[in-house]
Amino acid sequence: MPLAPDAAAVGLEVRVVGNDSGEKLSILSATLARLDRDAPKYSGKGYNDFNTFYLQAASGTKGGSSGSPVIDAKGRAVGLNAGSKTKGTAAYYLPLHRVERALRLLRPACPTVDGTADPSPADTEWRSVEIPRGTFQTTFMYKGFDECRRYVSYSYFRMGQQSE
Amino acid sequence: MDTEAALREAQGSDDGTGALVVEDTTPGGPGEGSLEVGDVLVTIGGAFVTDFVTLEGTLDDNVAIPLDVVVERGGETVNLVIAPGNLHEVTPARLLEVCGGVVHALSYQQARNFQLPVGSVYVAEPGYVLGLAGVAKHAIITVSFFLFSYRQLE
Repeated sequence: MPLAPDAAAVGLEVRVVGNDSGEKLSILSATLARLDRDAPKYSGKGYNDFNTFYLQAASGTKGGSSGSPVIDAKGRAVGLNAGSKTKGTAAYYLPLHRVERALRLLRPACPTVDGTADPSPADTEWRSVEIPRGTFQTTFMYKGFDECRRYVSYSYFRMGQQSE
Repeated sequence: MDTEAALREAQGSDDGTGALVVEDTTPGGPGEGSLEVGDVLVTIGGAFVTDFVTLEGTLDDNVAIPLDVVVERGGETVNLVIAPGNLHEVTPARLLEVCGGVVHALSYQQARNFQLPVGSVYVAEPGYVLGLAGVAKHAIITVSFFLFSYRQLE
């Protein structure tokens, strides 16, 4: 399935193909409403994503749909279903830009996918690859300029000189 | 050019509605002491960073390499130098089973939730002895105390 992270757009019709609520097959439909939702906070002491936008659409996906591809009319994946709001239909999909990068770095690990490797069945040796990940151990949030001005006080923010 | 105009221009005329703002830094992490809550991120390595994909790309491509970071703080431009840490190093890959419980190094994920330095001892499952002692799941034990007590057991 081709990954098309840049095909995600507000108003795009999508389908979420998976195993919603444990069904053998489910196909839910939705319209992408946002590309810039804050990463959902699921728990105060469990795993929460951060430093990424999420896509949002009212697909009503619940448990069982996690990990499902969110596909467009051309059958391309534009997101990865990740979570939802329990009291509502809003669902959150991980954008695929960094997924695409991780897969690209993983490819050379597999003997049959790597273009330079011998694709014969005898070549079954998997190589170890590195996927560099850096962190400032700092959480950023995307804030509108109105709010940014309040962080730094409006007049100062407007007057702060920025070299070009 | 003022900062807001520069950040708007960097995002193109259609998409420029905001900027990345520091929400929290984890104690002991690369950002602590340099970045402060409320800092508006302007550039990293001389390039405007106004979205998460660019931010994460820059961090992933420059592990342990000092980067020039420019933020706007309280109306003033602040120049910083920060080297991204290795995310894999603050993500534990092994655990210790102790007296029916499970402990491991505090991951960045949980360090971020609890605002404590990575590497402290994290109680994933209290088990028998820690449970009897009233140590709850998710408890974080300081390293020196834990090592001392564990050696007493041996």
